Amino acid sequence: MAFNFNWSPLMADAGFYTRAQDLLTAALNKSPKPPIIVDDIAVTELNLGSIPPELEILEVGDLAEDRFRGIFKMSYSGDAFLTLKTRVQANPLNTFLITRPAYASPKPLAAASGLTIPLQITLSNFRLSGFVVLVFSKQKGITVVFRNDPLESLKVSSTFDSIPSVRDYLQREIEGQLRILFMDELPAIIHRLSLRLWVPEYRGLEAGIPETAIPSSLGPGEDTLLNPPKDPVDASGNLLSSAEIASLSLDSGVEMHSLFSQKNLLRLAALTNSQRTLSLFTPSIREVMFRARTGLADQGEGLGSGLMSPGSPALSRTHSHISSPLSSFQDSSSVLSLQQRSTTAASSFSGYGLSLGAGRHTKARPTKKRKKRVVDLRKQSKPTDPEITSADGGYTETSTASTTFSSSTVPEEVNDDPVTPPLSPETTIRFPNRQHRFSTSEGKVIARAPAQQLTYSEPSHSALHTQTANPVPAVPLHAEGAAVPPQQALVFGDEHLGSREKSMEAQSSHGPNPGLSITDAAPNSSILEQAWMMKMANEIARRIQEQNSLVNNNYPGPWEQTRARTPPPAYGQ
Amino acid sequence: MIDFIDYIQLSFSDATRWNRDNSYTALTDTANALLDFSIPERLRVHLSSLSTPQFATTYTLGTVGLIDGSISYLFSTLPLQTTQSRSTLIPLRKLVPGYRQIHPPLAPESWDSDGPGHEGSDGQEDETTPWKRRRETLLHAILHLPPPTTLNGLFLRRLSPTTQLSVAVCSTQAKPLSKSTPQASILTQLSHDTGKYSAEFLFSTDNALLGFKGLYNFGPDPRDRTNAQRPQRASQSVSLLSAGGEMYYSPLSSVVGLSTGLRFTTLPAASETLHSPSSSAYPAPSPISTFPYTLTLTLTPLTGSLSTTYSLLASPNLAFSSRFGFNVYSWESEMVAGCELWRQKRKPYPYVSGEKDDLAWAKRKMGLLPPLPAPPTPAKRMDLTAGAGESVESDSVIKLRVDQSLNIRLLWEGRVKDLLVSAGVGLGPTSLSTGGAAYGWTGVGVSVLYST
Repeated sequence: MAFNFNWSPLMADAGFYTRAQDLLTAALNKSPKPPIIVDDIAVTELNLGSIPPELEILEVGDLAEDRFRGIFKMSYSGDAFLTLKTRVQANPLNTFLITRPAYASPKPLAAASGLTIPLQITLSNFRLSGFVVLVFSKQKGITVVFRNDPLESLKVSSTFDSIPSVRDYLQREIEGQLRILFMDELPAIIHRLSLRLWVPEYRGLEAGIPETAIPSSLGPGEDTLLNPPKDPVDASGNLLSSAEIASLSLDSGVEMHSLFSQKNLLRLAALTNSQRTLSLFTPSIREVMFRARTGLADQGEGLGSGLMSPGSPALSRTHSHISSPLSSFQDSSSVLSLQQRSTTAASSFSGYGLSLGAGRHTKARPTKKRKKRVVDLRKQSKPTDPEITSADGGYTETSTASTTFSSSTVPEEVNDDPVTPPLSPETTIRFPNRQHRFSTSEGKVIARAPAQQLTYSEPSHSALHTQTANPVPAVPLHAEGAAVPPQQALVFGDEHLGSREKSMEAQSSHGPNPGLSITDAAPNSSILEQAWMMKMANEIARRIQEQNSLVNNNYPGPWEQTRARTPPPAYGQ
Repeated sequence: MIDFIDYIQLSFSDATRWNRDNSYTALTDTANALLDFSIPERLRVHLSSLSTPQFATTYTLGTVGLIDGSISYLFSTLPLQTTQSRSTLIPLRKLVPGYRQIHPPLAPESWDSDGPGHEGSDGQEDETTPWKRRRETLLHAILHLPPPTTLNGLFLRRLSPTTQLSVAVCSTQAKPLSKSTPQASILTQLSHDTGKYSAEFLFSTDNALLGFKGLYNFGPDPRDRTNAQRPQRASQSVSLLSAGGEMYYSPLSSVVGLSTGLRFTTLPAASETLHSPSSSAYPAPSPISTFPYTLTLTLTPLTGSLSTTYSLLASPNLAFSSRFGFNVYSWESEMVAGCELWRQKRKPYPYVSGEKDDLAWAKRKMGLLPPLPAPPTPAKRMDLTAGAGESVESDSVIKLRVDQSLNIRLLWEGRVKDLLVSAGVGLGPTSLSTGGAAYGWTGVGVSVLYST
């Protein structure tokens, strides 16, 4: 899961500042002003600066294609500034008496005569730090609430800087007003904006999320998700075909997302894992037949796609979709991360495959419970660099069933501290899972059958922290692995396959990755996926053809080969 | 038009011989009445009664917001026997403040009936005798009824001939307009008036606001009665110059307020010299003025604003006033002009009211009828207007004010059958929320008072 937080295009939009100024002016004048301000507050200057805020994902409470609930930690210490112009009442007695009922007022003769002074205030040196609760629902729009008071400090410079008492007073008043703005006004503004965006135009869903989420920090931004990237490249720099773009583009994603189901996804992931690890646990999935053989042992080794977890692309796709409220995609990098994810997964696993000899029991599965996800957005991210791009994509699921190997084969240890990430720019996403830390540090697995474990961190891509879940019994896996039949296949019911499009979509795009040469070492591991991915490829092709004329089903060849195979006999359910 | 309860309070202060003109607060009363009058808001109905000479009630119903109203009671230990309470009989000049003629300050009468204070107590000695030697008290409470209720209370007590204590309480359930505004506050005010000067001390529990107001009258001291000629000369003064100031300080919120003021006004004697120059009672007729006028100057040193007003009573029924304000810091200026015009019921002459005889003039010429009494001289009319206004049957009054940004307020107040009606309109530039300005209505309202 990853997202890009795109800061600079906000300023590239010419009309953005005008709109933002109008919005802020309206917001500042809507709430009851302190009585010392006797005129409308006009925002005359606004600059967001060049330093973006930092966002960390602390918790994702609810996640589905049409709703999201998460908690973020935002900290900002940038160079944005804001200039306001208004008129203030300089006679304190006037202000005093205005706020009092007239009956018991001293009724001065002339001492309360007003002195209004034009005032120009520049707010700069914002220091914001707060926990943002983001709740998104298709029906109810976006709700952004600051759980605490986000305003740490700011510098108020005005025309009265030479008078210390007035300056302090203004500082106090403005801080108070800004706190009200952050706590009360801003959620209302964002909510109104999101409703305005979604209610009339339902298809603008994906476009609306980043558009409305950006004002949560600083105002409306230009939506970069509306159109597919102009010159999409995959992780290794190869140009993507139009079909792939279309399949990955967000327009088609609207339909795809509606086909997902998080629960089914996890079940399928568990199922595939159980096939590869000889786990006795098989999740019950309706209308699914399990077969022991696929007959595809020789197929698909050349592609790293077999290593892809069925859940991972979908999950990461979903994540990136949902996290998009906080980020605006600068280019196709996050989309590409889907492919890069698979390629890195393949290449990273390949190392294991070599060491393991037979990697078929390795399978990735997304963890069901992720306690914390910390995203460290770095402004140095270079989306064109393949490695960094994958860092942007950030969420790679690799599979190592036998985690006993992992410690020995992983040349580079994972960051053990999930809470305080190091500041290396490539490190974008961490999954501070306790099991993750445990498995990587000790190289052992205490497997719990239904529980997931994070066991592996990708060494070659330091930015990637791969995550593996093993629903294995507490038995050394590599010992068991020998007994696993080399060929397994899953044949799913037709209805459920449709929801797997996303994985197929990701699968379909990493063919041209040159970095996959070593994936030959893991031949058998991809067989499993080949079968159901073929199904899904067909399914996604069919659906995309129906729904999006731009999409063709020109998927790579291996899928075509697997299509002719007859399914092995079913062994389960 | 002031409220009925306020009218009763003014009657109380009149009855207790409290000179409310001799106060710094009243320095610009004339200009305020002519320039800063307010027009009623929408429709408002007052039902008032002075059921006993000591007890008055008022019920008010208005349509500001949805429906609002208030209930108020007033109790006075001093029976207000002479106060007219019927809406047909209340003199309009007492209900509608207009040009206020200042009388020469008098020394407070001693509450000892044997005291030497006898000047000015020509015809009212008998009717004020009952309240002497008593510390009269006035209690008043008003409850504003729409759910954010507000309760106002007033306790007014004459402590001595020269002092008066007033305690005003305001308690509201409404949301305070600022964080520092308390829900309830008590304002205590101790006033001291010696004729020569007056001083008021204020203390408000709201942020512990302290205040002081003082007014000093230049000229002979009315208390000085050693010289037998002095009181006579004091009453003959044609003008009065007063200077005063006020000061506020709140140690809690550091609120500071300061202002000073100066007032020059003619006294009734000045206009008398014009209209009866032949009377030998005044050996040196003053060349000052031909009509009553008032000049004030107020300065606010802290915020740099100064304001001057000039009000004149061109005729007993017509008064003009203007005000010019300027702020030396912000260079903001203000210019307001206003006037009031009274319409009086023509004094019914005997020959008009007595008989409807078109041939009376002929008969009179023939000597069949007695000759007409001379119409009242302007001087007499002036006296009537300036002094006790109740003898003049004022019918209605029109007030108009205009300021430099063409804010126009027009108010008509008069008697319609048994009701006292006040109707006003306001015109002015209305600032739109978008920043543009348009010219239009700023307020329309009618207020109806019926009292028994």
